[in-house]
Amino acid sequence: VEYGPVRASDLPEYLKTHKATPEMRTVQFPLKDRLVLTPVELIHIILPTVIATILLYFLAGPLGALAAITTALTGTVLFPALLPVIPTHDFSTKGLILGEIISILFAFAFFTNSTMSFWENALVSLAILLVMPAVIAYLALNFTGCTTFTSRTGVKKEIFRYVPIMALMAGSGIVVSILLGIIEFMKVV
Amino acid sequence: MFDSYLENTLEYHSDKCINCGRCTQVCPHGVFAEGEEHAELIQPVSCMECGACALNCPVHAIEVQSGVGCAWAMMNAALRGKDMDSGECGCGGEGGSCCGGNSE
Repeated sequence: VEYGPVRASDLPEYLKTHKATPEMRTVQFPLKDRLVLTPVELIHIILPTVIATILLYFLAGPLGALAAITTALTGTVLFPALLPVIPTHDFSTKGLILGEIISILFAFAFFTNSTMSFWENALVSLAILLVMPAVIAYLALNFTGCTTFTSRTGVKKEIFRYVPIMALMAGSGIVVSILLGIIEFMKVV
Repeated sequence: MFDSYLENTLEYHSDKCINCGRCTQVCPHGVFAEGEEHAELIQPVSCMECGACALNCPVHAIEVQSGVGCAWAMMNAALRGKDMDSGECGCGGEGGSCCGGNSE
């Protein structure tokens, strides 16, 4: 039995020398490899994304629809692309950091384009700041299955550590949205 | 802080090692290095629990509970009321396991 290189592209070199260098035996995970995998994640969530986009379009307008699409693309495409440069080691915390940055931009956009009162705007922003990062962090955590270095023990630890926080954030964000919906409904009535 | 990957199930019994160097050849993350009398465990934190070393060690000096570190598969299994470790990675088609597999 011979133990060759990890990548097929190293095979010609290996067949010449019959020696797999430590470099050849090590699994890398460069930007190209990470981006090739992004459609896998995107296809997984395409249906919920379409539903959320349509729903938010009718509830919150074009910016709401854009928020849904941005959340999906940030979690499945932007996150894998930026994986090594986002601070912290855990995928969930990386996702939360990236999610907060994106959601702050959206909260700001809502604030400046809104005709609602300050408090209503504050509630919308709060909902955005809670739900978007939670969903992005969840999608980020799901990228562990695509990577070449996460151990099962570590991923399990991440699930138990962060999924309850994500659920709490998303849940309270939805409660805030419902509260806002009730306020708006009362105004109409 | 914010690093869930500092611990794993890799166990190395250097007293059993016959220094064949196989683990250093099959590990994709350079966890083991060649040593004078036996293989040296130099980067245990880099272990991804693929199981290649344990599977290929002729004297069973390495133990690891191998499996795919995929959150999607584990949460899916948990939601279906199955054991989290039984979750199969849904992305890779047939079984979708890697180097060592978790059924052996």
